[in-house]
Amino acid sequence: MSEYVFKMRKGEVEIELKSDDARFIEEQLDKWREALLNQA
Amino acid sequence: MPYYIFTFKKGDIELELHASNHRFVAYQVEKWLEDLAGMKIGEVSAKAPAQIKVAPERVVKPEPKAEVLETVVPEIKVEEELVSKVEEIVEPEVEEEPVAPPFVKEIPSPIIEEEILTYEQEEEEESSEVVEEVVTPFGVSLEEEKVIEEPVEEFFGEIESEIEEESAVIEEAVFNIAEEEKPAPSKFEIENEDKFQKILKEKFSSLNIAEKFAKPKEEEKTESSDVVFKSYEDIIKVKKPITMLDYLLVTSFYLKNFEMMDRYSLKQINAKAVPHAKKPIDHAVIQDAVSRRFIEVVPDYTGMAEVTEYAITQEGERVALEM
Repeated sequence: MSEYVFKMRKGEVEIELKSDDARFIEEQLDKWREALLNQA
Repeated sequence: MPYYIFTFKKGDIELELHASNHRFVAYQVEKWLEDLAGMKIGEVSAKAPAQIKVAPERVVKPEPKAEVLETVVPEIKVEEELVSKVEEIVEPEVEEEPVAPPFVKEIPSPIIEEEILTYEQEEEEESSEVVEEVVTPFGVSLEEEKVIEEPVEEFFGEIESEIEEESAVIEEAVFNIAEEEKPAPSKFEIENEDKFQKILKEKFSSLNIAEKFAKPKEEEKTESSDVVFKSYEDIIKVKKPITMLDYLLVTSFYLKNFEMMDRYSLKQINAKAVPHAKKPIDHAVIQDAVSRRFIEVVPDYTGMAEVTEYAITQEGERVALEM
């Protein structure tokens, strides 16, 4: 079964998310993408 | 197993996506690129429109977190459609191999029913006919079986009659044999008896006594009866002893009948026989005569006898007379 790992690092803060649920990981990525790309 | 890492950095923010599912990673990359480049995938790959299909427009709405649950389901459905289309873009369709039909061929039911009906119809037709046409286990009808059985019965009947006749003949023969006397001796038996007698005669003749027995007794008796023995020498002349045993018997006969001696020693016998026999009679001859019961040893009841004494028997006297 595939495992998906989502990491987010900002400065000293690092967030790591592991899951085998592709949809869940995708959702997280979408959110962060929108946030990052929309951020000026 | 391949492993994919997608990293996005902006300033001090860094995003990483680790996955082994290449489709997922590719899909994410596409979305990021679309948003970054501000254009659609279709525009990017305008040079190869056949390979890549245009993804439908996605309306990006900044939805609050509270509304996420409400709108997740429709989005998921949309995304499922997108995922399926992305899969088509990423990989060519893999046509599934057609499932091989089962090996067992199913006969359509109407055909089976027809077959059953026809079989049943045949059975009814057969049962309606004469019962004798039932086929025996050997594949022969009863009528045919009867036809075969008749000659077979006749054949076995003939055999039985022949056996009975032979048994009757045997019984008669046995009965006749029981009534008859002992069968005559075979030629083989007769010949064997003759041979046996010949052998016996030869054996007796070799002992010299057989010849003397073979002589007619009447002639011997006449010879001895006609001659009057006056002395031992007369007896020697008439009897003509040859062996030492002959001398022993003649001498013993003389000592008993002329010297009136019931018993005599070997020394006394030799006193008479040696002048004529030229050699003494030894104990071996005595033993031989004793074994043949011509001479007997006189037992010493008193225990006073110094030497062994002997006496001629009736058999010995007969032999001496017949010499």
